[in-house]
Amino acid sequence: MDRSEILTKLQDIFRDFFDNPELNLEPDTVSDDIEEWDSVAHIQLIFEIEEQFGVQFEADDIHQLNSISILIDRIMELSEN
Amino acid sequence: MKNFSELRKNLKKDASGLPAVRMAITADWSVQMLSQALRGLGYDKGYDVCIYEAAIDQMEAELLNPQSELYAFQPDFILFFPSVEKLQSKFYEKSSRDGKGFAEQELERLQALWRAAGEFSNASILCCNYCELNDGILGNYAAAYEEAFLFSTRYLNMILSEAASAQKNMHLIDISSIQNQYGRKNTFDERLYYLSKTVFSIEILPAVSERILSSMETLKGRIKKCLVTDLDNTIWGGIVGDDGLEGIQIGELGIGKAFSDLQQWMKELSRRGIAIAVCSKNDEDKAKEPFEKHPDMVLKEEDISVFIANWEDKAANILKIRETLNIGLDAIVFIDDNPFERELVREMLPEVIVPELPKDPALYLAVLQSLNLFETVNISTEDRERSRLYREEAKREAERSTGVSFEEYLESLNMKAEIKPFDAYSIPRVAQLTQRSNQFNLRTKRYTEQDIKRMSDDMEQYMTCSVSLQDKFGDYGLVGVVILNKTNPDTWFLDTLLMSCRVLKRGVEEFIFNQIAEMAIERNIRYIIGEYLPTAKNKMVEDLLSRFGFSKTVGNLWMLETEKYSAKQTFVKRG
Repeated sequence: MDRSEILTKLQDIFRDFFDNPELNLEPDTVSDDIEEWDSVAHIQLIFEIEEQFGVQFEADDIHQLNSISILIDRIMELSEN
Repeated sequence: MKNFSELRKNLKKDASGLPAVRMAITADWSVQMLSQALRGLGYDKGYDVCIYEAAIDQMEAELLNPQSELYAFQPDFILFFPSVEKLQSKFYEKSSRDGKGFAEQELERLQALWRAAGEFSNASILCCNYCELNDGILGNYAAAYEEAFLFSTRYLNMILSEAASAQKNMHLIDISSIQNQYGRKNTFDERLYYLSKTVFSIEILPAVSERILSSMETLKGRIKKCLVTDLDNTIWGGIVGDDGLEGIQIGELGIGKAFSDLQQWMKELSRRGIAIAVCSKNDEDKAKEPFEKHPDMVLKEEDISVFIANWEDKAANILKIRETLNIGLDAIVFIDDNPFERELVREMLPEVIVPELPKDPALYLAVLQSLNLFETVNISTEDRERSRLYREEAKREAERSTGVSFEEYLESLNMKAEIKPFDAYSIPRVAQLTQRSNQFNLRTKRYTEQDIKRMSDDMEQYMTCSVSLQDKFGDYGLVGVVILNKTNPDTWFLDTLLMSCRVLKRGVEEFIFNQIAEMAIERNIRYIIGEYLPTAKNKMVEDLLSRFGFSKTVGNLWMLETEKYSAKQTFVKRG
């Protein structure tokens, strides 16, 4: 999967999670840009992303995954291994 | 049950038209996700659940102060949700390790908080018990050692239960059994815990919420009062109208046991005050026949409050049942193996609870039990009267462990055995026993139902006996099979002798041989020939024939002169 495919898939996950079909993700989107992306939603969202991509982040890493570009980096790293 | 993200999506829906339920949660862990699950599930149950989350681990500050925000919220329910994780760190902080004392202190603390809540609000109090946790420090010994954390938690759960049974306005939410059912591996998520202090996994939060809300609903008077059940392929296997009374599956063997267990569950429900009603597409006389005549039915006619068997649609019949019992439709649970009937009732009577059943009847009971359909917060006087019978039974059970000798115990069981030729009821079970019984089986001859029927019809040639046992605690059903073949006018060949291992060492084999010898002498049979055919599994009957006075002739053959048989002592009486 390349970066743009990951971005598309992430967008589907975000749209479903936040129940908002209009939501658009850009590589530079960060958690502050999406109102409902708060700390409670964050963990649930990350777990959902893990399930959809078949990856698992380390606990300590999860709080840092608050921008789309970092998320894409991590997903690429984990899928390579 | 919906999963967490499905429940979460309910939060965007407008619940303002629904009856409001105000719940304050006080906990020593982070309950934000639990609140989401509670609100989402509440919406599906038809409530607008409004939640006040007290600050984490601030039970005293919120409850002992009448001016607190919690009381200002004016909750209908106050949920106490202490966690085993927090309990554990408190336990480790103690300098002394007094498991019981620690538990008692925790209970006193909670009791003081409940008292304050009772004084400063009109809320009903819900309190969760603790998941039990072996911390890996003492292994199995933790369950037996008063200074262990596991011991302490279990003791605390026990005294919490006692406190709840003594205190009217406090209702225990049995969280511990959720962990027992699903396993800690599934109920706890380490990453979620370390990142957010949430002590349940996202996957289990719907089940936790269900437990809490079902008590809430019960306290608001929404309780189930009646179980309406279908008959064919629901509480017995097969169709009584087609397969006949003898053809239905029920009883100890094979899948029949799954239906018996389901019936037993229903009987337990009826004992605690749930009305059991029958709603079946059948001719009434055919539908009633098993209740009247089938020896293996657990449910009897007197357990059934309303019996409807006809060819009308089931929704109309459920309305009749409701009228007879004078209860609300939302107090009814309907179970039926047929997806068409379930869907029809759901469509026509949406208030009736219609659990989805799996295809395989072996799974019916487990699914029904897991749904927590019959929540209650108390048992009425009427129900208690029914449970008196229960307590008597418990006393009998207790005799087992009093210091009497094994003989005295056997005698006290009042065992009665019925021995009789095969008949239409016993033939299917006899055949099954010959096919499945391996250990206490002299020749391991497998027979079909037709074989068994043929032998039982040929009374000149064969003497057949089925043996059923009951004692004062209950009925074991058919436990033994004997087939004797008259090979000479004065000789029986012991073609089959088998017994269920459930009744070993009770004196049943003694009883059977005594009976065989007696019958032989009555019929002028002088010799009985027995044969032991060894298999990988029937070593336990290797010595059986010699024990009962047979002497070895040739090969595997043994012979008994019936005149010389001396009756063996047994506490099993002929019933």
